[in-house]
Amino acid sequence: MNKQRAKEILSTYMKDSSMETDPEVQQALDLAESDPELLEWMQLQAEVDPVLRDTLSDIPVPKDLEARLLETVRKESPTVASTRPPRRLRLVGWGIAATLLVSISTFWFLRQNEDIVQNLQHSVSGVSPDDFSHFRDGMAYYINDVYFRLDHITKDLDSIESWLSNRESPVYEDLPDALTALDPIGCKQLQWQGLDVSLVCFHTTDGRIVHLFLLDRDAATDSQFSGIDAVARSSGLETAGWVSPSTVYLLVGSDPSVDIEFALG
Amino acid sequence: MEAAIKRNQERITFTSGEDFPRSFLMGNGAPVVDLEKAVRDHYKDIYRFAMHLCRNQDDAADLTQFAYEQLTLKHREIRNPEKVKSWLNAVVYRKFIDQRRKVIRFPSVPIDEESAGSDAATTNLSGKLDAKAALAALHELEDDLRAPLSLFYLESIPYKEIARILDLPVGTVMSRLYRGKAKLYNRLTGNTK
Repeated sequence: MNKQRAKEILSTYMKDSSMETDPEVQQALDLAESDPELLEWMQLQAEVDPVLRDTLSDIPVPKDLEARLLETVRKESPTVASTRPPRRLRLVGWGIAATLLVSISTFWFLRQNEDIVQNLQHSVSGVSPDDFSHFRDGMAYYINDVYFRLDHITKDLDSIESWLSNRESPVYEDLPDALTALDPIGCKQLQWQGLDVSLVCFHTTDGRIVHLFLLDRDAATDSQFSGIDAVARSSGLETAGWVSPSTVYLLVGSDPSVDIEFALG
Repeated sequence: MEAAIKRNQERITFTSGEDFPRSFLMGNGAPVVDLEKAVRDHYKDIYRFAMHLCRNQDDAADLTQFAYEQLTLKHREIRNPEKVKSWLNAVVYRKFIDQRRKVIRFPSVPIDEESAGSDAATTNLSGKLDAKAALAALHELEDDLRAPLSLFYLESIPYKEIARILDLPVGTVMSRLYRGKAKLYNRLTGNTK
């Protein structure tokens, strides 16, 4: 250890501290005992340092400082640990929210665009109601497999009649009492094999739904509705109808468990 | 500018004038610093350290105030409440360095007249050391020598802790303590070498 290094070490030396056990400090102290210059340095330190220490500690402190500082720390808002979720969780949350938003938007868009949905269904299944040559099978398929929305929603049967009539869609003449006793839901216009078809939906007393399709008898060929008055299953749904001088009627249950015979009168 | 030191394998980084040694900081779950106790226990030493740095009572009070404001904001992040005094000293020093840079950049800001004096440092080593002269001699030292010496004398802080507070390598602190003391002793003894 050279003299300069020893002086640097001795400059950091504080008596009665843990430094005394430091081998490098010990070496510097040993060196100072045999070196007059280092010894003088140590004596100077021993004389000056305590005075400086006392002097520096005697610097007066403004009387109001403590009060001001206490006021400062007391102003601390009583915040608790942050309730903000961790960044990762927030990102996941944002991701979920974004996915939900996109899903809802897509769902809403599709609901508003029935044609798009039906085209999609057609492109996926490769089948459409028009592919069935018999009115019964086409309509049963329509109920069972095609997404649709009612055009006019009302519980008023007269309103349904006038709505269809105004649009030159097939309109019923006389309905069986068992049907008129049900609660109407609404109606819809649709096309089947280029023919206008009306759809009127009812709630049954047990909360099920039955669908009544109307087709102009003159517009259709007999083969398209032959045997329609027989109760038969098509696409898993119970179906049956009747024919009036101007209209072909077909009743279809909304699901396989719906019995439609009661409505036939 | 980013300056860094290593102490006990622990890296301490200052990222700006108002940031703090990260080794003092930690996340939730740490013991909480008692702010009022931190004021009562340490404010005098913090003020005195600030006073030795800036040599002006008002500036020292402002620095102390700033340090406690920062403590109020960040005390939940302090890793070891027992180190709160070192944390406060570090804040004071960083703020002082920051302000000094601005003074250097914009020299129209006056530096306290007390620092310009040079005739106060007379002493009588055969008798008692003149306290006022000793203080004046200390205040005449350059900032980079005065800061470690102030901590060394004022608070008897070991040089390794001084290095941590000032964000300096330990060797640099040792060297500055020596050079500072040498200048101080020369001035007090009238030795001009």
